[in-house]
Amino acid sequence: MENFVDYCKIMEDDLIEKYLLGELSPDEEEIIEKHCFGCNQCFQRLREIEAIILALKEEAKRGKLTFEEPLTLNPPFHLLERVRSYITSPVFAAAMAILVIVLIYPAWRGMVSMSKLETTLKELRQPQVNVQSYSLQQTRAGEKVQIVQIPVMGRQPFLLHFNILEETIPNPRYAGEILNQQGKVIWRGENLKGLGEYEIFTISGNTQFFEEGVYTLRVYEINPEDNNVVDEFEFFFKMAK
Amino acid sequence: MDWQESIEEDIRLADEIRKGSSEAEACLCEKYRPKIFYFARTKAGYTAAEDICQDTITALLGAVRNGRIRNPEKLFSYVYQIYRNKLADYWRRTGKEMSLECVEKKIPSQAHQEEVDMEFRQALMEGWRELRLPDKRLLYLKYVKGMRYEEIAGILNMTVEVARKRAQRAKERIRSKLK
Repeated sequence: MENFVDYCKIMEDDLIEKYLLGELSPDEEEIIEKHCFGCNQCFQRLREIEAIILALKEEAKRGKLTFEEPLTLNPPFHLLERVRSYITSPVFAAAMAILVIVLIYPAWRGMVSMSKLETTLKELRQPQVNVQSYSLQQTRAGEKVQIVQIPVMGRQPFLLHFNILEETIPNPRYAGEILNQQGKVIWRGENLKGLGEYEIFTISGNTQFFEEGVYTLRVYEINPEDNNVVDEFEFFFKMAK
Repeated sequence: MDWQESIEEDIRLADEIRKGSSEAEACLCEKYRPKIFYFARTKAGYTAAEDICQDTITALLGAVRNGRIRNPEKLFSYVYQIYRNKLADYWRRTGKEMSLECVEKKIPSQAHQEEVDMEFRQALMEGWRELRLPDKRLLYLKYVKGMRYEEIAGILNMTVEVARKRAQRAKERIRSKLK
């Protein structure tokens, strides 16, 4: 059996119009007519389009066809119509697809990066509830004190507190440095400030930056007028696993 | 009714007509008469279409009653063939030859003006008023002036493809008002 159903796909208005205006060959007309005998939908569409064309001609004869721009159509509709006429172009569709990919990929990367940044910011904003505090005892040369042991467990923040018991001069400035067991300075602070009634100094650190061993915190009492060191104090702590 | 349903209906009606059902005959006539009349009118005019339609229906019913329709699923094709034969008979009777040069435009200018009633015209003009100016010009040049799309595209400064699609959309917009 001939597959006339396929003809429904080609019975577009363009073909129907050509039939109505006599622009098809007799063989082509026969195909259209035979299809319409079997397909009610296509026959109905043929009649509708014919009626439209007829009515347009009649109204034109009567002088009823006006050529004014409609007042009710919204500008976006015009734009949509214009855009729609371009969208059917395969080249335009391909260009739009490429543009979307080019725009979306960096944005997607940005969103991924942003999520990492947000995670980092969140970690920084959140208070560290698991920070260990250690009080260092002041020593002078030759004195032996119990050395505070700080466990090295990967990346673990800690606080070192110390207190300067004596001041050689009034209102000194304090500077400090931390030395490793080889005597190498691994940290330096130029202006240490004590807080609170007892002028407790606090230095924060992270165990990931320390190897096992004994470290020395050396604090210098400095005359702010001439920047000369008037005294120095040592505090010891040990990083141990 | 879609294609498959139409074929099934033809098979059922043919079977019932063979059994003597006058109701089935009326249904078959009602189904194909408008189509026969429509195409006959475009080829031979309004008056001749009545005769051609009647002759076709008569021949069709006779063939179905006598079981001469071997493949009822191709009934539509058989009806069309009968119609074509009756149309050729008409041309022979009237002494006119149906050639490519003599084929008239399918849309008669006066044959069925009365069929385009007032309500239809009002709905159509409502759709027309909502069209944009380029679309109005396009339809006017195409259907009133009878220009080809290639000519229209040059006048309205658009491609032929755009002209076709805009005309199609404009007609769809008008058709939406007709429903």
